[in-house]
Amino acid sequence: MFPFYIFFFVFLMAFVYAANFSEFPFRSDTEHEKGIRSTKHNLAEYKGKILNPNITGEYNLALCMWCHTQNIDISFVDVEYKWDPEKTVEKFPVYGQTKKGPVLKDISSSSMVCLSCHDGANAPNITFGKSGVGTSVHSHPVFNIYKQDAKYLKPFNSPLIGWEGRKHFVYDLIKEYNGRIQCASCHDPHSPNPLFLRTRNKGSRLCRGCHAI
Amino acid sequence: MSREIILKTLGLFLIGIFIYSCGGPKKPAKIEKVFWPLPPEEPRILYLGSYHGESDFKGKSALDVLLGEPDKDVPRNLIKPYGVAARFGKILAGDTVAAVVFVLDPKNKKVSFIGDKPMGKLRIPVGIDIDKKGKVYVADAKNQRVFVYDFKGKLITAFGDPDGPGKLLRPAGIAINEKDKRLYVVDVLDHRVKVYSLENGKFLFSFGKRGKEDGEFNFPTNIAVDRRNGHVAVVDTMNFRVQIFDKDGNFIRRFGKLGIVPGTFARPKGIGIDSEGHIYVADAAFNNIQIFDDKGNLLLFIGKFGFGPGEFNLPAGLYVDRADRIYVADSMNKRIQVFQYISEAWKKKYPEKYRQLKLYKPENFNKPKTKEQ
Repeated sequence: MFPFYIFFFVFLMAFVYAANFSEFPFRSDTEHEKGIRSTKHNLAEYKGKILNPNITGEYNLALCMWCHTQNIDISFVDVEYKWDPEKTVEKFPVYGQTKKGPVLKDISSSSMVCLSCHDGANAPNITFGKSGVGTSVHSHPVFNIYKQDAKYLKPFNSPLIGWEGRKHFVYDLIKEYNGRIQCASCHDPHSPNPLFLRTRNKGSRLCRGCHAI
Repeated sequence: MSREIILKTLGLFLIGIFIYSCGGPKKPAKIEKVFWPLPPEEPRILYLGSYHGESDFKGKSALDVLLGEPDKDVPRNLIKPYGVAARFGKILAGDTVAAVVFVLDPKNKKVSFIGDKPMGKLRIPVGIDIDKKGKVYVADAKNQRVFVYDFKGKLITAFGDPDGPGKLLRPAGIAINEKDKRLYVVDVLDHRVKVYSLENGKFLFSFGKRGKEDGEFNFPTNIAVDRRNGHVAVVDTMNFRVQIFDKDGNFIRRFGKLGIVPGTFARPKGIGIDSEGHIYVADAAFNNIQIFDDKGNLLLFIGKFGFGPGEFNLPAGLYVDRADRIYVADSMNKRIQVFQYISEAWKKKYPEKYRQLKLYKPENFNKPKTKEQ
């Protein structure tokens, strides 16, 4: 008879291997909330109290509305421009968009959300530098196109081994941003990981998601 | 034969003069046609110009380009300005990436720097203000101090002793009350406004704490003094509102809340108050500037996302000088935009310009360009 314990051993090793890489195998929407609550991005809670004066009721919303402002429906309360009463009153487009949609090709509005707070005064500064392929932040290129055929870069369909969350392939990191690298390609502002990285960078796991050695 | 040579020489000489005259310093684009609101309403805000740094004043002439003269020094321009202030004809802009304060002098076409010397080296200059003696106060968010310089960049003193009661965690916006000789400093991480004496730098008192009630703050960033009565307006960024206090820190009123409709805020940042008490608030999420009266009623908003005159890309600091000029640090457009509030005094001073503005008809109104560069 085929030794059963060998099969069992292989199974166990596979399980341990998988468990090592994915700390949150089943991540749902409530996971976002749990994650952000323990981070510095929890701007609402102070000494157990919720600070925001505008949202009453749901705790969830109080955690989210700091950045997801455009999703909050606030009805117009008799707004009028006293210097220009004829002017039509409408919503302001937020985060670098205009009424016709986004203008910039390279910087997505999700990165504008980051930049709107991280200015050095409100939150730690994001400083731009120059790299061989354009702009860089802390010496890593950003806002440029991910070239899958470039040297040391993995193709779009390579899996992100051991990454948390719903990003499974390299293409998932850039597909929402016209193929360009944005802040949110590597960072998840909801994540409890250090530096809000999409995965813990143990053994350069995060770097090796895109970079081939 | 010799006549031909003379003609050719003369021709070359003329061509040379023509090429030489093509160059010259690049002036900041002055488009006086951009103003708000559109006719037939009374014009209130006029766009004056933008400043980027050394390249505003240091033009390369065409002859240099032809001769291929190597760039001796690359012009130092703003990278990501935050704080801005202006007085005595000079515009001061604190750059959070270059870590210096640019002193732009449009009259003498010169740019100098504050805070690049070892004594009083800046790291993240945020709030800037200037007193009547020409002392420049710069709040550095990373060095946790308010440095005092003269216009040449010589360090005079520093406020915010880390061992004393006036310790600063992350100072951001500052404002000077000259009548009472006070310096108001907003401490973002301490959620307080700290007040110092201008004469000796002594810590006087502080007001506010973290919270959502009246007189409490959640990451306040910027502050402005109403020069008429000494009231201070504090931008309470993460409570999405503006709070107004009297000069001793007693709460008077607040306005604004979170939202994306006019009269609300999403990322309020810079604030300024003009001579008639109008409050200007820059918002980095909306990329515009909303104008309120001193009671908090919405008057107008100017600007949208873009790169042209009167368009913003993450506006940060805002300053209103004594001549009602509004300076906005347009951080991701790497420039300082200057506007004029058309006050009664301005109308009296420049009746011809005012008449021209009044005569503009909507059909020949030059729409602001959507793209510069």
